[in-house]
Amino acid sequence: MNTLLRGLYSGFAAGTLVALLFFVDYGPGNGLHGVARWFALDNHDTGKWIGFLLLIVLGGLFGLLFGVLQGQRKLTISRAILTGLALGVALWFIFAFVVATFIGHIPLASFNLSSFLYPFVLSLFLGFLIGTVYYQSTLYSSLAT
Amino acid sequence: MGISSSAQNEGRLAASSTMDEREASFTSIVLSERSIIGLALLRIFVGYLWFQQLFWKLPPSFAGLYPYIVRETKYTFVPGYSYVLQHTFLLGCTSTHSAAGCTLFVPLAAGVWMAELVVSVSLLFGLFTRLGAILSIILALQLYAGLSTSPGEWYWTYGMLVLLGFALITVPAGRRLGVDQWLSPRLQAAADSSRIARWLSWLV
Repeated sequence: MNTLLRGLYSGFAAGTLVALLFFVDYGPGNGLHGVARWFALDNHDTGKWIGFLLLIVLGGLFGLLFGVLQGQRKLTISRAILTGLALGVALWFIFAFVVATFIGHIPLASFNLSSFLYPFVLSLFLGFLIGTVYYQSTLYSSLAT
Repeated sequence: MGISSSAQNEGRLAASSTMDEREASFTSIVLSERSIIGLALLRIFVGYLWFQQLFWKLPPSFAGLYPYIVRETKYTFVPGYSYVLQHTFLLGCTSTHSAAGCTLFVPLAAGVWMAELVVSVSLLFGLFTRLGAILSIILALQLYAGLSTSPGEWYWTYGMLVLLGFALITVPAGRRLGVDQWLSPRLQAAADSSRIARWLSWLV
């Protein structure tokens, strides 16, 4: 399978899983409003669904990026994990910090442990998952051939 | 002689078929890829459960934890547990509503919070998953002892939390979609020459 396509699929799978995790709360899915807020797209009625879709789209985008970075090189588990974690940090910095500040107009003063830890760990986890899902899919396809 | 020999043969055949059946029932069980991926997803969701619980008792005050410790002292079913809590977490406390005057509450609550952070990172990322599962059992047992019989709680809630931890100890759930997939072969390779690696390899 094409590395870009594999990256895209892995990203969609990882994004969907993380978006589902966000649904497990008292809301349910209140945390997804926060994702929509990064892009100034939040509203009371559909904000959480916009956040849900955004996470899947971001997953796909970063999955694609993983595929680009991977290229035709032989993928090892350590490389998949490290690249995934680096993409997770990049995702947090670009979207949960920079985009949220300049497009979502989330004031810097509102950043605290809670508003840092939740999106940071889940962004990190999304990147990690993209890497491990990608690695797993390469294993399965090499076993199948 | 013929009859006796035939009876012996039948006996041997019966014994041999019983042995075959016993051996067949003892055949080692190998988890399929689908099963282990399913267990990895279970691990991730349990990790997220613990991760989410960090946010209602955040540092530096850990104020969200305080009313639960007070409830544990009132409703625990374990004799002596209330005494232990009153002389550790609640030492010096002057109110049942806030941690005012408490001398040990903040450092001990910080320990609980850090332990829950370790559990959530361990289970979400599949990093020393069995260690995370053991720690989750200890934390959940403490909750079970203190809160399972308190008003408004369903006594199975914390029991199930303990059992989820046990389920994650019994299987190598971190070896798919987890860092343990990278750690495990390395630790097993080093286990012959290093006792620490042997112990650590049990935790992945």
